[in-house]
This record gives sequence, structure tokens and C-alpha cells, in this order.
Amino acid sequence: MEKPHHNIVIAGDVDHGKSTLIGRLLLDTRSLPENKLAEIKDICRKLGQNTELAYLIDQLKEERENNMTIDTAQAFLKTTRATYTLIDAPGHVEFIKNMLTGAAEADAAVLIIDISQNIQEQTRRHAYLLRMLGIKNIFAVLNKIDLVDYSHDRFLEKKKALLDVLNTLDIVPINVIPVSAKEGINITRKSARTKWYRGPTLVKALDIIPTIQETVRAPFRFPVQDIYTIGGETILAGQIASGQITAGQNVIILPLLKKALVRSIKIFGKSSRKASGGESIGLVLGSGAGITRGCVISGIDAPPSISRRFAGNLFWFGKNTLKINDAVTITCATQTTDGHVTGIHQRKDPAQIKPIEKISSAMKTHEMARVTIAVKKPIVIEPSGATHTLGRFTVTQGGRLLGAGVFT
Amino acid sequence: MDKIAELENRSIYLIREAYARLSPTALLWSIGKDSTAMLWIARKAFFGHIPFPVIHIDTSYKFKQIYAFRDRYAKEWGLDLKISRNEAALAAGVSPHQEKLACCHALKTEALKGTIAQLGLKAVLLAIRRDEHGIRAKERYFSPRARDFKWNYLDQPAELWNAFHPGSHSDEHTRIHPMLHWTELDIWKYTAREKIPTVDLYKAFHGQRYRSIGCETCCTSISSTANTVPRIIRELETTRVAERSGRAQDKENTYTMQKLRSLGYM
Repeated sequence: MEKPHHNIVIAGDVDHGKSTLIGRLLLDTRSLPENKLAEIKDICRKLGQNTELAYLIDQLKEERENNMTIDTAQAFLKTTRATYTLIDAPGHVEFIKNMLTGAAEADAAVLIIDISQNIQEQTRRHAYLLRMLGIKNIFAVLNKIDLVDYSHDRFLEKKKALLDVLNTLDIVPINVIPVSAKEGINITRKSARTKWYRGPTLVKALDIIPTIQETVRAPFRFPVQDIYTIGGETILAGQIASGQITAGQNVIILPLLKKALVRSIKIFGKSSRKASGGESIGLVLGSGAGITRGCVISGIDAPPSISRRFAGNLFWFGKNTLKINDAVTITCATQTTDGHVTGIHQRKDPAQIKPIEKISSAMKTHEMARVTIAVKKPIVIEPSGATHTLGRFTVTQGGRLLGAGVFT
Repeated sequence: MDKIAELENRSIYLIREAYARLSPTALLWSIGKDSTAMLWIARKAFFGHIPFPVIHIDTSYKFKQIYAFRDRYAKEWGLDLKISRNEAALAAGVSPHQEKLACCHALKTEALKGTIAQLGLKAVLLAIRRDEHGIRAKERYFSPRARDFKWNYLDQPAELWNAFHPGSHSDEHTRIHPMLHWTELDIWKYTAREKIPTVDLYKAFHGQRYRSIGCETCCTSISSTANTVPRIIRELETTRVAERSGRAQDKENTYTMQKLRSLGYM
């Protein structure tokens, strides 16, 4: 039987040991090509330093010279139970867009905290972003247990402080694990030095992440990606965001509010009358007049809503401030529309617990707020839908993606 | 849906997205296993007929089996095949027998530059994968390249929730990487499942096979008895030898791949 596969992001503050943890996981699960460690040892010797496991993932010259991860990267891990893609997320605050890019592909996260330090702002910020990204399976590891003499008391104390912080963000980690990435403690094997710890090693904990196939049970949603005319037939191309569709079924085209019959389902090299969530297919409708890229084909019952002015919780990572009346371009699934900001409320810095102000005229880099945005073209949205596809949006200005948010 | 089906559906989405947003576009086919799998998926994405050119960058030093495979399947699959060669560099005697970095740059990167200019391409599809090399692991699905072809790896655009940066007016073209999320093992499992033809060099002959193919002058074979696709899969499930261990340009010195890629190498 095929082993389950998970994409796991390793998040947390700078220097808390993300890249070292990835290096350790690769090494101790024997997922590295032979000679790779020898190659790294050789580079470190030439640079006049001790063997740095982080170099297994930090491959840019600039990353090694400055001892920091600049951009997200991935590594591939296999255990006896599962296969994994490990996503390294840079810890520095100036690389937050790279952290988001990496973490957006994850279905689980490991939040790493240096046990010898207080809970830092960046830990809070990363935890907040994991939640905004909708990642449900979050594991916490308290790293560098070797620096606090493998102390159970220090572990309990830091675990409580961490759970208090995560609680304010509505995050309940599946496990909190004392580890030393450097020494390989509680990563793939337990250690006599932390005998007091009765929980699983990190790898054991990861190996039992449930695989959820929620996209199939949810209502039918199909954002139109493109329209092809082949052999006189008009085919709507796209990937089913959720639900199932069968030829002969009735659907509604949004935002046109027109009903149509699904005449056939097109999958190259296969004759199929049925398709479901996750499949990239072609749809042929009985009447498809006026359909363009960005339309959403939905099941008849409880379709998503159509909006010209929406509200959402936005995280802003543009270097500029975002102000009321600023022009923005909104993207949600395959929909793109221009618009402008009409309100900024409950502005806060996710790194801090207290909000900054209730009503604002602008928001700064790395702040979040509840914004309202008026759009030129009506947009099809689904604030707490079963899948994320129509529940979230990105904001671009001048062609640069600078903000990400969730409809409320 | 299993992992391989998920990977395929995502790649179809990415290929369709490139075509919907960036025109004209083209697909780079090295005739290797990865770009052949990408080509296969592109045929599926467009229901059998790829609506843009397929480019082979020909250094003239490729294995003869590569040329035979190319000509056979270009015809069988009805491809709009364009062959891209840096004739000026070849005439000037550039060859892999001199410095390899300069040869790769002239015969691959410069050849591609010429073809992009000639066809006025806004996007090219490439089948690189993150697990091939640490530098490729840093790539985006949509990667804009500046006028001088450079890859600004220190400030890449954010990419999330299927919002891809399509490139701006000042960019030369956008690299699209529809196979970025696949591993070598995934490619072979997919090749087996779909019965995709591949060049015979990948299969063991007299105890040797190639894991990665390109120019005959710069590839070395590995010891192997895997002479069928299922045997290749079994071999990869247990091997600890890096895929590109037989590729010269990955090794010359530690940062060769970073330098090549920042200058526009594929």
C-alpha cells in the first residue's frame, strides 16, 4: 500500500533551530544521499567552523555566509510509516513573504521554540500566520533542551508559557515535545537525558497525522480557469475546488446567476461521467453564454454569495502602508478584480496581544486588520465554506502580491 | 485521490494557468524523463493537442538516442517542435571539452535567450524539480526573469493560494515550473502508471544506466541492474545516491549551480 504523504512547514523565530531540525530529521531518518554529509563537513571545514546541519537545507551562498535562511526551500523525508516534504520557512521578519509562500503549501506545521529564551514576537507572528493559512495540525517543539541541562522544570515552565500564548490565537498543539536538534534528542529516538518525557518523538508524532479528504464531501465548486473551443465544443477548464459533479446534473453559474445542465465531463484519455474535488477537468454545459475566466460553477443548493463590498481579516506584508481609498487588486481562486479599501478596523500587530486601535486610516507592514474593500466586478465568495478556495483572498498593488486575508 | 494523482492535477492547473495568463508561451522539452512527463501532462491539460510550441535546446552533444526519441514522438504526438541551437557559439568552437560552466551557458542559456527573443515568448515551461538540487528547491512555480535574464533569488515574489506573479512589463519572460513539487520517484511512478515512453538510456544495459541525461560528454552512468521501469522504482526506493551525481555541472565547485541559475540556466 502507498504510504501517506504530508507537507510539513517548520516555522518559528530566527536562530531557534529550524534549518538544524530539518538537517537532523534528514540525517536520522537516513533520507540523505550518501556523501552529502561529507560534502557539508568539508564546506564547514573550509569556512573554519563546526559541522552545520543547517547547510543541508540552506544552500544559497548568501545564506551560509550569513548563517540565516533567506528563502523557503523543501527537503524530502521518508520514515517507515509515511513520506514527507519538509518546508523550511525563513525566521527573519523581513522574509515573511517567503515564510508565507512556503507555509501555504503545508498541511501540518512544526513550531519550534528555543527553550532557553522567552517566547519571542516572531514566534507569535508565525503562529498567527499558521492559523490564518488554515493549518490544523500544529506540533510544538521546545528545542535546545541541552542548553537548559535537560531540565523537566524548565520544560514545564516554558510549555505553560507557550500554551498561554497559543491559546490567545486559538491554537492547541497536538504535542509539545522537548528536543535537541543538535544532539538528536526526541527527534527519531528518545534519550536517557529526558527520561521524564513520556510522549512521542517528533517523527512518531508526525507519522500519525490524519489524512483528510474533506474536498469530496463538500458542495460542488468549480472556479473557471480558462475556456477552450475544441472540435466546435466549448470546454470550461478548471480544477474542482470541492464536491462532486455528474453529467446530467444542474448547476448555477455565478455571478451570472444562470442555471445550466452539465452535458459532459472531459478528462483526456478517459471517458467519465463523474468527477470530484481536486480533479483538473473540462466541463461542457448545455448553455454557457457569457461565461469567462473567474466565473464559479456551483451546485444548485446553498451556492456561495456574490459581493461588491466585502470584509476580511487581512495580513499586510507590503513595505508601504495600506491606506483607506488605496487602489488594490483582489484575487480569489481564478477571480481577479480591481477595487479600493473602504475601511480599516481593529488594527493589530500579530506579534503583540493588545490591539493598536479600533478604527484606523492606514495599516503598516506586518500588521493585521479587519478591512472592508469595494470591488468593481462582483466577486463570488464563501466566508466559512467547507474548503478554503473561495474563503480567502490576496491583495496586489503594482503587480506585487503584498497581502493575504480570509473573508469574514 | 492518491499523491501521484494530486501531483498530476496540480501540474495541469499550473500549465493551464500559464497559458491563460501569459501568451505566447512554449514548453522546453529536453527529452529527459521529467520534461517528457510534463509534456504528457500538457497533452492532457489541453485534451490532446498542446496549443503552443515545444522547444528542444540542442547543444549538438546530446546522446543519439535522445535525437531518435525526439523525432519519433514529436511526429507521433503532433508537436509543434522548434529546435534551438546557438549556431554562432558552435561555429566558434564552444564545446564541453573546454570549461563546462561557459559551455552550458553558451549552448543552453544563450540558445534559449535567442529562441525567446525570436518567438517573442512571455513564458517558458520547464520541468525542474525541487528535490533535484538545493538551489532548485528555492524556486517558485512562476518565476519572473529580468531583461538581462537574471534570477533575483534574494527577492522573489510571494506566491500563495494559487496567486502567482505573472511578471511585469520590465521582465524578459516568466519561467513556469509545473513539476516543481514532484520527486524523482514520483516521476517514475507516474511514468509507470501512464505507460509514458522514455529514452532507453535510463534502463540498465550491461550493468549500467543513466539517472539523469543530457549531453553525452557530461553525463556518467551508474551501476545498476534496473532494466525496467518497475525495477527503477524499486532501486530508487532504497538508493542513497543523489540523482544528479553523474552531472558535471552540479559539481565543479559548491556554488556552480547557483551561478548558472542566477544567469538564467535551466
